[in-house]
Amino acid sequence: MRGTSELESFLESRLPGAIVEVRDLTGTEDHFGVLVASDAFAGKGLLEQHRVVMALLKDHLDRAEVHAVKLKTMTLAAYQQRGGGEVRT
Amino acid sequence: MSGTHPFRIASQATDNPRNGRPVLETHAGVAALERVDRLVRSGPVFLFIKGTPAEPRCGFSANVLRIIESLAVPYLTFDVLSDEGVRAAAKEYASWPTFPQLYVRGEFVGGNDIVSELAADGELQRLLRGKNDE
Repeated sequence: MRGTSELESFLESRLPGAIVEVRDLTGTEDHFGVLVASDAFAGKGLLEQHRVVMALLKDHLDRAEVHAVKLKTMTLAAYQQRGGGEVRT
Repeated sequence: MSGTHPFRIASQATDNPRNGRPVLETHAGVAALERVDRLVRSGPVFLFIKGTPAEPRCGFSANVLRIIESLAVPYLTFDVLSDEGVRAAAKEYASWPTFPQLYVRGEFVGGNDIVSELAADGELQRLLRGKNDE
């Protein structure tokens, strides 16, 4: 059983303290909009932030459980500043 | 460097004979990685995409092309669907699993999400303008 909540708990377990929001973009449970806010991103550029998440999702992508990810990353501070997150589609 | 054109690069890159025969690169060997290295340095703005600027074969590639076009800077592209060896090597070179991939002055910038976000924030424009502090 895959889906948004499974992906959320997976990423939250790998990034303790992170806020993770996952949306199914296509209704097919394989194209996801993923927002990750984490202090692990502090001091990292956008590319490095994305690399952290893409590395965690590598197995999912390799097994083709996840076909595409629309990724948005930020620090927790930035997340609070924007008053919560929403994965834009 | 006058008269450079996206398709010129693509045709040169796929025309790589060794002992009179095309080199088959089904894995990202050294030769393929060197080709990728040459490609990404072939101009200040370089894109690995699926398809061509005239006919992108993927919505993400089309989106990044639209963004780069809107900035009115010259750029070169390579169609990864035209060459499996380059496609595999480009993923390895950037440690990035998907296409499109944008390079500015030989440095990997990111894929569709990152390019879109940088463009929306005005960061991409700053990056393309460069610093000229060398």
